[in-house]
Amino acid sequence: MLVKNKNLSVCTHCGDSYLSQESESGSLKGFCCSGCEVVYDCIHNSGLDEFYDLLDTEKIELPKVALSAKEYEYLKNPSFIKEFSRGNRQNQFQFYIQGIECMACSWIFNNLSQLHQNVEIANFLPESNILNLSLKDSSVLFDVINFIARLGYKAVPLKNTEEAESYYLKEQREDLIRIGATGFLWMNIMLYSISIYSGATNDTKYIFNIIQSLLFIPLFVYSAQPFYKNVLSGLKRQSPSLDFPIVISIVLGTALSYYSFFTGGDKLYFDSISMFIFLILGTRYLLKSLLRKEVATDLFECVYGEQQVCLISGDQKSYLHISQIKSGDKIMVGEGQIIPLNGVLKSSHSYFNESLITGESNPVLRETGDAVRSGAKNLSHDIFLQVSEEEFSNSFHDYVAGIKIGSASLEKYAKFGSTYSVVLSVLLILLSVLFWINEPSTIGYEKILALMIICCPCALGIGMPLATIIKTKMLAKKGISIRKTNVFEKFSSLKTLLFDKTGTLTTGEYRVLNVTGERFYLSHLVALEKRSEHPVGVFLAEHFQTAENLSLDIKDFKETPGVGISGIIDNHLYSVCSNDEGEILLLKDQTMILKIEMSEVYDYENIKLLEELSTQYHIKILTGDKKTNVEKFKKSISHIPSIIVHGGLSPEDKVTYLNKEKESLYIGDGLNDILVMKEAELSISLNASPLVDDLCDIVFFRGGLKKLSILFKELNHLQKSIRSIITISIIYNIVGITLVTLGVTGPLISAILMPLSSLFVVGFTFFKLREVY
Amino acid sequence: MEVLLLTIPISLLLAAFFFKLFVWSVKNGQYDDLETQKNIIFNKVKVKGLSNDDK
Repeated sequence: MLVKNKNLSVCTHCGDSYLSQESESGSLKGFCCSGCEVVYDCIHNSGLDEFYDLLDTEKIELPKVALSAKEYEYLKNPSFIKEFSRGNRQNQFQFYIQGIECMACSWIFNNLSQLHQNVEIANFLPESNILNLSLKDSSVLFDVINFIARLGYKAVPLKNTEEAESYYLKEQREDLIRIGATGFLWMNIMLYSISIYSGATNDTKYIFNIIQSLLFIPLFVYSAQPFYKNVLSGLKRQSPSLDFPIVISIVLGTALSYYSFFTGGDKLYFDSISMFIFLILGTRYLLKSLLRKEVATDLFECVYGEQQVCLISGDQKSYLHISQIKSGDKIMVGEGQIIPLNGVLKSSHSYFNESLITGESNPVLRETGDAVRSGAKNLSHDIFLQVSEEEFSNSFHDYVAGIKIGSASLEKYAKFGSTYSVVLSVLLILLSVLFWINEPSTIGYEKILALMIICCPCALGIGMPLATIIKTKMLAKKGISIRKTNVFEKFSSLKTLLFDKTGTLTTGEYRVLNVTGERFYLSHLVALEKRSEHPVGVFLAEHFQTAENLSLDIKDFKETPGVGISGIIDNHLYSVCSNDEGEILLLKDQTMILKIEMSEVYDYENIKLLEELSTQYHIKILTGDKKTNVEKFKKSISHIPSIIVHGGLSPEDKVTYLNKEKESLYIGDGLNDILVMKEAELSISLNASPLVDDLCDIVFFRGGLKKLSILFKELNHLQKSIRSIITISIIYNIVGITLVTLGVTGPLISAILMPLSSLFVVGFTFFKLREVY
Repeated sequence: MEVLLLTIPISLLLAAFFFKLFVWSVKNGQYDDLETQKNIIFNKVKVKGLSNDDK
């Protein structure tokens, strides 16, 4: 076709320029391809034409001020920029973005340069949730991060990690080159060994053998190096390395081959050993990159808590990033904030909630000069602290970091599996040596070598941890976060399920039926309940929150779990509690001034779930609710007689109940259950909040209790899978050993079978754990 | 037979050459990031009829 018959048009759907037929140019709509036309039709026919208006990004309106803008004051600080920036112009930064789950969000971050004028380049890595920013200059950093906050995301700055990254990259490149070199050498050795197998004789054979033995030297010295290193470090740690049998096979096989070569024999195993090395290196590399991919996402999950700290120097306040605070600095912590660093209280006395550290949820009074631990919540008023890391050996941040390290303990699984199998296979080898060493011909050596190669226990060591990792990742995608690795072990012995009621079994929603008393005092109620963490309090604060509410100053606020809250407003003591009928009362100097009648909204799907679970487990419901509410609830589950409900429990009572039950799982909605969750053997929180996340074993990010059946299904499935993985590897080994003993399999076949078994187990693990639902 | 004396060094040299190429490509960073590429398709953005590539 001739170009002169065509016009340059813009595609209605994608906006790309394309050459259109002349006849088309008259019409308003044109498409560059039939794909765009189909998509346009879909959008248009569904009445979603607004999509095309929204494509003009300037039209999207974001909230003018981000709610969390105050958190980011430290970004303006020059010393922060100096420490966290990269590049010559100090204009490149790296942030971890919390809470990104879909491609659309990642799209937004990759297109920040289109959305914000001061962003030059933005590159978002969806695997690790890391955003690399290159800005016009460093002074606009606050604007950009504020913009991200307006989009609804929290950005956590990451220190320059180029060193760690480049180390990983270096290692990865070294691995690849090693595999490449091994492959080249192996293939060349194969060329000559196959010629010999097919009948090369005399001089030719002699030359070929020389070449083989020369080519094998770098293989033995360079390619197999990682195995030697692992064995050495295993010996240092006094735990047998998985590579121990591998190294024995390689060394013994090499020794036999060279002995045979120099004495003029023809039992050369260079080809078998080199293939063996190549295949194991290859499987290891695959596994390594897989693990990195699977685990990387969790790396920064634990970046919680306050990032910004308010530093006081003289009369001046300045905002710094937490990592920039040094021992001896004076900092200010606002009311309701969590103490970021250990320190000594310099201002007047204040109340703290230390439940995160001690499990004790009653507020604790600290006087001037007392030590305050990081992780405590400041309840009373703005306070000043002098930071002193020496005061306590463990800060809250170390504690959180400890949990992060806990997730790396997956290696324990591998060790458990491999230690036994290493010992077993070494024993087998020794036995076989004793048994076959006196056989007249070289057949004996051949059998020993074949047995050694086939016994390498990689399958077990790889399969189990891999299955656990895949399952953890899969659950994370479904909104279930496994915080600790021993969850999988503990789950199998589970007998009793303990449920919190409010917010867990019930929807956490309420209906206000009636308000009696002076409505003027609703402002007082809201002011008090705003500070409460109890679900009823949260509900009331939201329900009665109106513009007419007075802004009130509260002194001496106290929250006593299981009893209520109180505080002094305008020199009067106001307290909120509930009576035996489950009604909420507001008292002014011990006189009732307001009564609110409420009812809970039950979720019948959850009750159905309880019914299902009651066939397998003992179920107990622990609640702090008063009698009337408990009776109402009991009625709704009266058709499941096996469930026991305990009412009127304080968190401490709950712990006492909990300790009576062994092998139990506690399921709560977080916040008011911190104490119980900390004590429970296994605990699930239905709410993701920085406070509970690190104390619980499992967190449901969304979907509430309904996730429980998914979790149980998946965990059962994992157990079954691990069992079949173990069975398969045992069968594989038994078959292999039998074949070798009977003389069916020689070293060459063993060298293929062994790495294949690793690959097979990896494949089998993926197959067993593929998404079925 | 004598031809082997010629072909074997040639084959080894060829292998060495391709290995050298492989090492060069690894060191050049061609295998460093196999993840980002597959996501690039999502990053193309159209603003006012222009694609990223046109800017």
